[in-house]
Amino acid sequence: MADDWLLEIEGLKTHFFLDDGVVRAVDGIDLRVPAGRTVCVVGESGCGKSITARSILGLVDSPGRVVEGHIWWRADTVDNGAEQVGADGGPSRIDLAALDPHGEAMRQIRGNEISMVFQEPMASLSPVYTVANQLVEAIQVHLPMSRDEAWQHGLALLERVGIPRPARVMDSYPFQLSGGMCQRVMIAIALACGPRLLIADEPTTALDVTTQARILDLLVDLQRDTGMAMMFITHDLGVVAEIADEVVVMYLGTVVEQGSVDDIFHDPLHPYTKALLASIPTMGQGVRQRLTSIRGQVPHPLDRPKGCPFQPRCDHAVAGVCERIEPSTVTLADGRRVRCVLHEPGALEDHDPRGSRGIKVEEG
Amino acid sequence: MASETSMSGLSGAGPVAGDGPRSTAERRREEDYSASQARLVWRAFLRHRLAVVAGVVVILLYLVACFAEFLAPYSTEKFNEEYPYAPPQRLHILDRSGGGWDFGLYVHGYTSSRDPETLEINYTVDESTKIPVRLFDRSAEEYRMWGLIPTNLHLIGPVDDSQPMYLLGSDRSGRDLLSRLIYGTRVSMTIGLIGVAMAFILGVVLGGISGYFGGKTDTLIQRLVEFLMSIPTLPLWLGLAAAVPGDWGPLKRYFVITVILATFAWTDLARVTRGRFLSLRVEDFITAAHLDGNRPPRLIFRHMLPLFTSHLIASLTLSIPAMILAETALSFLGLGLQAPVVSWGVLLQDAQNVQVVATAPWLMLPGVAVVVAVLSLNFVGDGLRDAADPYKQ
Amino acid sequence: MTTTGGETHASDENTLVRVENLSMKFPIRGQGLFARTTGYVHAVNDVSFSIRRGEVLGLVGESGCGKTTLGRCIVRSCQPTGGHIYYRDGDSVVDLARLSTRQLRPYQQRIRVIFQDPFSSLNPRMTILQIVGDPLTASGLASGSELEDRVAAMLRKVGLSPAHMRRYPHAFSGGERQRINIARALIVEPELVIADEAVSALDVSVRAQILNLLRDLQDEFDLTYLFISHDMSVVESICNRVAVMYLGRIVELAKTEQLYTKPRHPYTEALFSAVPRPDPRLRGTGRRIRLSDNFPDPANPPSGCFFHTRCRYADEERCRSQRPELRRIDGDRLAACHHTEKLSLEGVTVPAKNT
Repeated sequence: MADDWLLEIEGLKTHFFLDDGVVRAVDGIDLRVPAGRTVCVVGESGCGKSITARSILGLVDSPGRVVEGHIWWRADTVDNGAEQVGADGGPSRIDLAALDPHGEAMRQIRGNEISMVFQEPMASLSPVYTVANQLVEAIQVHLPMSRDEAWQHGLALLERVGIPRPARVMDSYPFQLSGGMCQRVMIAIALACGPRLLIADEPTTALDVTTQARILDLLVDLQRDTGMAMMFITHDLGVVAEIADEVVVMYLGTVVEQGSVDDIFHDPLHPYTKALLASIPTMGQGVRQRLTSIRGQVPHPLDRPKGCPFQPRCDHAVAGVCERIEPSTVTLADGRRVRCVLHEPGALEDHDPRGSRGIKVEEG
Repeated sequence: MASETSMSGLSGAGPVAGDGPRSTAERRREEDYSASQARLVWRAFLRHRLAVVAGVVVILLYLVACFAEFLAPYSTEKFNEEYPYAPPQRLHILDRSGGGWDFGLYVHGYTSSRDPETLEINYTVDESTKIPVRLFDRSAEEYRMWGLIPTNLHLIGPVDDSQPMYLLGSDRSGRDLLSRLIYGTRVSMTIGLIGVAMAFILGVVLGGISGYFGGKTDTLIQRLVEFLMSIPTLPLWLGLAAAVPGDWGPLKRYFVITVILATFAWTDLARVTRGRFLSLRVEDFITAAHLDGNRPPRLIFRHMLPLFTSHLIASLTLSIPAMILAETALSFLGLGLQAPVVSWGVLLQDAQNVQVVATAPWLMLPGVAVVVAVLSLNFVGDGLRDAADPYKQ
Repeated sequence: MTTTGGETHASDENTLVRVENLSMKFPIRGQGLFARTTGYVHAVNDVSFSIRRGEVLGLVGESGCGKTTLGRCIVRSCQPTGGHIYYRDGDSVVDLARLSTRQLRPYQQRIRVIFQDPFSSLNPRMTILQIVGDPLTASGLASGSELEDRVAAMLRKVGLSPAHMRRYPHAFSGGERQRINIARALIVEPELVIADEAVSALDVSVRAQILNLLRDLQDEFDLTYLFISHDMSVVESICNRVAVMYLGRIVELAKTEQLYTKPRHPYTEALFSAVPRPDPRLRGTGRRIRLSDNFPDPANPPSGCFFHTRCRYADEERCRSQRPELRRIDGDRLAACHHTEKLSLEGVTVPAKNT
C-alpha cells in the first residue's frame, strides 16, 4: 500500500523572481498520488495549487522556476520489460523536476503518461481548427496510427466522454460548442494516449452547476474504467466531497493538511481546514444563517507572515510560538499529515513554556 | 534558514540576511499603493535603459534646435567661394609642433589645388597653418537670439573671422555644414511637433466621438479613416505640395506642408482612440460610473481619458518620427521645404548626385541626423508604451 | 399577464418594485456592411414579479438565463424593449421603464448595483476616495472636506480604514475591493441594492465575511436586496424569497425554505440535485438528476414549455405545444409547470447531523 504511489512530490519549491521580490508560490510541499486514486488539491487563490500542477509538467513560465525539491514519477514498468530497481532498492523512478522542461523526455511523459485539463476549455482549444484536427493530431503525435485509425479512435473517445452524435462534433469548431461540450472534447484529447495520471486544474469552475455535475460524473466513470490516477485541483469543497479519495489542503504555498476525504471533512485537524469548512454555506443548513468567517485576508504574496503562514488569521494561534517558528509536517498514525504546532508533539513545550501553558489547557 | 539565503542569492538581492530585503520591498509597495499614475509610469520608464538613453538624445536634439543660433558657428547663409566642398577639419586641443605643451583650440588650414583636367578642387590639410579657435567666440555677424536678444556670441568660432573653420566640411558654395545642420535640426524636429499636435487633436477628437457615441457617427468616421488610409501618400503629397503657389514665402510654405502632413497622420491615432473607447465602454467600472450619475463629459474626461493618456503620449511620441521622415522625403524630392529654409531634407538635396557624394561624403551627415532622431524617438515611444500600464503584472 | 394580478400595485404599501411583463430583446445582426437584423435573443421574456420592501429576493439560474440582464434593466443600464418597472416613491408609483435619462437621475441614487468582479469594477486610475465619493461628486451632492468625511464614515461601515482612502485599487485584495464596491453603492443611501453575483468571484474564506457584511448593512440601512447568483447555497444563506429563471423566464418563485425543501418545478429540482454538497458521506444519496448538456439556443427557444427538451417529466403533447403560465399554487408560491400538482419533486435533504 505504501509503495503503491504513482507520483511523489518531495520538498518542492517553485518561486517567482519579480522586480519587487521573490514570490514563494510553492514553498516546500510534499504530496503523494497513489495509483488509481483521486487526490484533490484544495485551497484559495494564491495558495499555489495551480503552480504545483504546472511544476509537475514543467509548464512554469519565467520569471518562475522550480528551485528545489523532487517530483518523482514512477517509471512505466511495462515499457521497460521488467521492474527496474532504483539505486536505493525501491522501484524505478524519474525526477520530473530534474528534466529539461522542453526536452524530449519531458514531452514523452507529458503526452503519454500525464495529461492535463485546464479551467477554460475555450481558451485551450484553437478556434481555427476543427475538433477533428486537434483530436486526431493529439492521437497521432502519441500513438502510431494512420489518419483513418486515429479518426476512428477519436470518434470512439468522443463517444466515451458522452458526446452525442460524435461524428458531427468532429467537424465543428470549438466556438460552435457549449462550454460543457468543449470540456468534454478537452477530456477526450487528454485521454487520447491513455494517461496514467490526469491532472485537472479547476476543470468545472467555468461551467454551470448542472454541467459541472455531469462532467464530474464523467471523470469518476472514466477513472473507474481506465484505472488512471487523478489529481484534481479546485477551490470548491463541494466538488472535493463529491470525487476525492485523498485531500490535500494548501495555504500560501504550503500543504497544511493531507488525509482521506472522510477525515478531512469529518475530523479536520488543522485550524485552517476547520475554518474553511465552517465558512462555506451548505444547502439545507437553514435560511439566513449567519456564517462563520475567517478574519482578515489572504496576505499579499510578497508579505508572507513569519512563522506559520496562517497564524495572523488563526483563532487557535499560540502567542509567542506560531509567529516565530514555521511548523513542521507531522505524519500521524493513519498516514495523515498536518502542519501545525498544536499537533506537533513537544513543539509548544520546547519553544515557549510560559506563554503556551494556559492556551494548551484551553485547547485540550 | 539555508533556503532563505540561497533564495536571496538567486534573486540577486545580495547577501542581505533575514528580513532586510522584505522590509524594503514592503516600504516600496506602501509607496506604490498611493502613488499616482504619472509617478508609476515614470518609474517603469526609468527601468527601460535604452529608452532612457534615447530620451537623453531626444532632449539634446531639442536643446540644439532651441539654441541653434548660439550653437552654430555661422549663419546658414554665410558662404566662402574659396572653399567649396571643403572636407571636415579636425579640432586640435594640444599643439606640440613647437616642441612644448601648448594648450589651446585650433584647426589646420587648407591648401587647395585645382585638377587641371577635371577642374576639381583638391584640398589637403595644411599642417603648418594654425587657425586658432575659441569657445564663446564673438563674431562679426550679429544675430538676435530667438529674434529678441541682439548678440554676436557663438559657442565656437575662429578667432579671426576671415579664416575658414569647417568642422563638418562645407557644401558647394562653401557654406558650413555644421551650422546648417544645427539650423536644420530646428526645422526638422519642430515640423514633427507641430504636425503631430494637429494630428493629435484631430485624431483624439474624431476617434473619441467615434468610439464613445458609436452607431452611425462611428461608421461615418471609420469610412473616412479608411478612405484616407487607402490613398497612396507619396503621390498625394506630391500633388498637394505642387499645388502650393510658388511665390509663397518659406514660412507660409512650412506651415502648409505641416498641415498637409497632419491631414493624413491623424488616422492611426483616431483608430487607437476609438479602440480604447470601445473597449472601455463595456468595462464594469464605466458602467458603474454611469450609474453613479456621471454625465457624458465627466464620464469621458474624468473616468475614461486618464486611463489611456499614457498610451496616447506613447503613440504621439511614436508618430513624430513618421512626420520627420515625411518632411525629409518631401524636401529631398524638392517639393517640401525649399531654400533658403534649411531642414535635413533640404540639406540632403545636395547629396542627390552620386558624384558629389563620392567627393564630399560628409554631405550625407544630415541623413545620419535623421536616423539618430527617428531611432531615439522610437525607443522613447516604445519605452513609454511599455511603461504606460504600471498595474500590468 | 395574470401572474401577480392579485396585487394592485398602487395599493400595496410593502411592494417596493413591481416588474410587469418586462422584456429585453437583443437583435442579432447578420454579417456585412449593411447588416440587417436576422433575429432576436429574448434575454428577458415577459417577466413579472415584485420585490417587497426590506426583503432579500434571490434570482438564480444558469449563465445565459437572463438574470444579469434583468438586473441591468431595473437600473436602466439596459433599455428594456417592453414592459413596466413600477417603483414606489412615497405615495406615488413611477414606471422606471418610461423615464427619460434626466428624470431617471434621482432614482439612480435609490437603486444601486454591486458588481460581480471586484477587479474590473474599480477604475485603476482613481483613488478610493474618488471612487467611493463618485456618486456624490457626480451629482454635486458633496465636495471637499464634507465629501471626505462622508467617504471616511462609509469606509468605516464596510470595515475598511479611512486612512487608506488615498490609495489606488491595486493596493487592495479581492475582498477589500468588494467592500469598496459596497461602499460606493451605499454612500448615497439607496433603498434597493442589486447585488449581481456580488460574492461569486471571492475566495471561500472571504465570501462569508462579505455575506455577513451585506446582512449587517441591510439591518443598518433598511435595505432591500435583489440578490442575483448562480450559487444555490449562497442564495439559501441570505435570501427570503427566491425566483428561478430559465431561458429568460421565471419558472418558479417561492419563499426560500419552501423552495429548498419542496421545489415545485422540475428545473429547480434538477438545480438542487446538481449542487455538490460538501460532505463525502452524502455521496450517492438523494435523487440524482442530470440535465443534458444541450442548453437550447436562446435565439431559437423550444416550443411550448422552454424546459421540455431537458425535462424528465415532460409529456409529448402539452409540454411540447402549450406554454405553461407562471401561476399561483398553494398560497403565495408561483410555478410555471403544467404538471406541478402531480409531481413529487425532491428538494434539499438535510442530513441528520451526527455530531
